[in-house]
Amino acid sequence: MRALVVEDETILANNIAQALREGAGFAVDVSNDGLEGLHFATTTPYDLLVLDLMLPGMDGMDILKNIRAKGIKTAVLIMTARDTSEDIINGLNIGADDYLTKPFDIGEFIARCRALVRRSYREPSPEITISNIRINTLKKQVFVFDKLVTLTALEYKTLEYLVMRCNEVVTKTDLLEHLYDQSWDRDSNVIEVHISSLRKKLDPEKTLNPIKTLRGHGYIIER
Amino acid sequence: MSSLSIKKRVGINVTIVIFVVISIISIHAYSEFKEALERNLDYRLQSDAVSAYILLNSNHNDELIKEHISLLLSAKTDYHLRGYAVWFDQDKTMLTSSDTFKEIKAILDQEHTIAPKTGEFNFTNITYKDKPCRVIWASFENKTKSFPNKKTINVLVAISSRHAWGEITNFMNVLILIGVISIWASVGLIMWILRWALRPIDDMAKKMNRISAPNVSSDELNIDETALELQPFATAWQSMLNRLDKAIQQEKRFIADASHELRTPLAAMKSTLQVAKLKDRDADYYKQAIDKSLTSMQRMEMLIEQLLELARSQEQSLELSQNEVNIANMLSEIAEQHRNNASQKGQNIEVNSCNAKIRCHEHQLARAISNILTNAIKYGPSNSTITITSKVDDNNLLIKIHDCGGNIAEEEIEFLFERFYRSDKVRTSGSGGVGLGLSLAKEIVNSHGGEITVESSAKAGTVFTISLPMK
Repeated sequence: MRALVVEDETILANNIAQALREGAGFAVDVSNDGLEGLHFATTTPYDLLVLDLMLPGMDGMDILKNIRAKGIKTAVLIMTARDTSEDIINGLNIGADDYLTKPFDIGEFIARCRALVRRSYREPSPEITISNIRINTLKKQVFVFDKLVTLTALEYKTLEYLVMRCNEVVTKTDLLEHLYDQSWDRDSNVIEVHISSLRKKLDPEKTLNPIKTLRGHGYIIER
Repeated sequence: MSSLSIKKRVGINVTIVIFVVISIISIHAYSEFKEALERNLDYRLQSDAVSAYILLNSNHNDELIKEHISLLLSAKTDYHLRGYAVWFDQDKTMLTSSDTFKEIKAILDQEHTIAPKTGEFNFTNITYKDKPCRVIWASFENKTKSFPNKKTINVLVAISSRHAWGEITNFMNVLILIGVISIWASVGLIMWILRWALRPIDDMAKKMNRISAPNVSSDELNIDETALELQPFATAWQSMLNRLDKAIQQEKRFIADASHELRTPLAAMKSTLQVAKLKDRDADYYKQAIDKSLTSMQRMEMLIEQLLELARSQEQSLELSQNEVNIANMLSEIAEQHRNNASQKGQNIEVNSCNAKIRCHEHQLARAISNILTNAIKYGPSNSTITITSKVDDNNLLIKIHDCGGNIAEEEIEFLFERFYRSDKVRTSGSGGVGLGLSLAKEIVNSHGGEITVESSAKAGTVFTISLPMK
């Protein structure tokens, strides 16, 4: 999962980014400027957008209006010091999915972000079961036949993304865009390596074949 | 009178006018009616007197005349008092008279009624046996042969005017009744008309009642629909509401901005500490977290300090705490305080001051100038000179702070002194300001009765001018 944080207070922006990386396992991009934020949000398919309202360059409300006008359906969490119900109603009516007033509890923030992303993939439960594989998204643990399987962070992220989009074809580009933030050099070969090691760990006997390859298209997990 | 309602005021005045008009009309009608009735009575009396004279004047002998007179005496109508009195000249002896007329003559004598000249007559109102009577006293030339030595014949005829007075009283009662009814009706009508005419005021009051903070926008008033006379009033109200609305919006924005500015560093601090607690970290991480928290805290501290300063500057316009200050000393002191900061950017501060003295809050004014100077150092280019000059011009003290900084856009100048305003460039540059310095300076200068202006161009740089009146 990949999130964009648009917040001009650098300390707060970096803290949020770190919390999302460590607490939710998201890949996170940060922008301190409204116009730059809008540019990022319209050019990259994020799973979550964390927006401050008072921003240099462009106001948070305007960014939100802009991306909703362009048909971008990314989940948006507004995070601001404005706390009147008028502001909250305004924000939600323009197209935000949630609203958090500063200062907030970082644990609550992470939980809300997770819930927003789950919702956007129509997966309200934090525990997902697909045939014999059970994934606890809170603890980031994967069980096969109720046996804990140890995955690397990126293997887990790959599996989580594929599961969230189960019954859909996920291309390598999708995986690259949703698992890595801007600072990474993307290499589609890395994806293949992750997928093959995932297959080994989830299906050592090669009987279940949970992750199917559609040659030339991508990968799919079927429910 | 001022607390009386318009309705009552107009109502009372119009009622008084109507009352006076109706009274005048009634009095007039009453006197006309009375006069007509009296004329009617007089006419009768007159013709009776004349016919009596004609009878007396006929060329008959005494006996026949006496017979005529006794005939006359017996004549009566409903209104007539029975009989006549007839006598000659000033004779006390009556030629003929009933007892009634003897008494009437006695009343006339008692009231010293002057006898009419020969050929003339007069009328008198008397009360006879508690009844109002009108009496004619006619004096004719004696042309009869029976009484050759007598010059005049006096005839007295009386008529009861009780009936006429009764009619007059009736008429008066009717008049009073009509008067009362018409006053009552017209007061009611006036009240109704007034209520109808004043309804726009009531409507407007109702509309105004609905207006309350924070939404004081004046769309409710609907000026085009109010009565023509009320439009200037409504327009004045509207503009007042607009001004209020602007002030409220400004205040609202200030609160929103203040809460944003205070909450953001608080949120930064809280999140720094909470993220640090997310899992076990090494000592370096904690040190960094503490540093970050301190940075946020300093920002909050500065902000709170300036907010308090701003609040104080709005309170303190008391003459008491003002004192005489030598402006040259003040400016060089301020320059000295900032020299260190300026030199870090390779900037030089030059002071060129006149020796004027001004009454002011020394500390406050110094803060205002200092804030502008800080601004100049912050946004002026490196290795340039900032000049502070002062001079007296037309009873005003002008303090100019000039830096070679770039052009401030026209539309930005407007917002420059607004609280929490920082241009986008400034926000992102992380210059550490909180956006209150210039508004504080403006607040202080305003409380001294002065003003701050800014001129900025790419060529000449930026000049802040503080203009203070020399009292």
